[in-house]
Amino acid sequence: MFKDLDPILHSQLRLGIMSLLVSVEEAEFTFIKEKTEATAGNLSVQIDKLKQAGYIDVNKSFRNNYPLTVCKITKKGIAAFEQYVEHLKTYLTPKK
Amino acid sequence: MENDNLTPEQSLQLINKMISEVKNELKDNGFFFLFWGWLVFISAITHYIMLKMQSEYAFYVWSILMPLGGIISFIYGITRRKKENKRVKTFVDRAMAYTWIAFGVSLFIVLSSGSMVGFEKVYPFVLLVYGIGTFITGGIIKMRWLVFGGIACWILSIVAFYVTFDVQLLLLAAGIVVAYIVPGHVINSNYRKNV
Repeated sequence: MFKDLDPILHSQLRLGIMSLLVSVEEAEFTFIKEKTEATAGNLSVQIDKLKQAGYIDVNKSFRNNYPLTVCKITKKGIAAFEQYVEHLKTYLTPKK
Repeated sequence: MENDNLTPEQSLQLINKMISEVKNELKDNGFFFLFWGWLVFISAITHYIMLKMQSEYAFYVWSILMPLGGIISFIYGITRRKKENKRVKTFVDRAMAYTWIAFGVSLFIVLSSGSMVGFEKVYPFVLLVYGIGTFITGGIIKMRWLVFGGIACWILSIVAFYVTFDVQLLLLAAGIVVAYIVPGHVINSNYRKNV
């Protein structure tokens, strides 16, 4: 009765990013980098994958001449995250 | 770091860890509660003492200290923003911002009408507005001291409708102590423990 886990979310870094974004309105790239302890390159790739899936919105701009990337979870992303957690529960139910 | 062979337990741990990381980011040092609390407390008490000494200039304590407080708050807000380099926005941030904007506007309306209809008529409403600010904030950040402080302000507000202006000043000072200064110190000590 194990339900399939969304492969986009079932990855350490992508799940980390989504878990951060689900509890905030928006977060900057540097914030996500610090909290996930990922490298900038890897983080960029994973953020891009989440964006491709429509799970997050990415807004790129500049602040004081430095690039500023702000990420925000989408409704689709929240739904996917909730479903992931629901499916996760089927694995965690104690066996008798 | 890329590791797709997560076990469900690891997934859950990761989600928990990330959510608590965000929680830690929300800690506030209570500066604004303490700063404005003490400033209004000092103003109210000074005003009361000067009234008792029958000074004509008693009211000026507000005209000097409140704009000064505004300037200091503004500078502090900007420097803290730069120092902390806040890179995340939460629902709590937005809820708090709207609550305190509403608070400021309401207070401004009440106080500016005070100069026309008489301050003794509007002071009970000042306490009412103070109560709203702390009560809602207490609900948002889940802090009982603020919720009770807000309720205390409302009770003092009811009393304030029936007393003279000098007593209203003392009620205001009392409201500030229970709704701003005491919770402010609690927030500050919690903050220190967590840093």
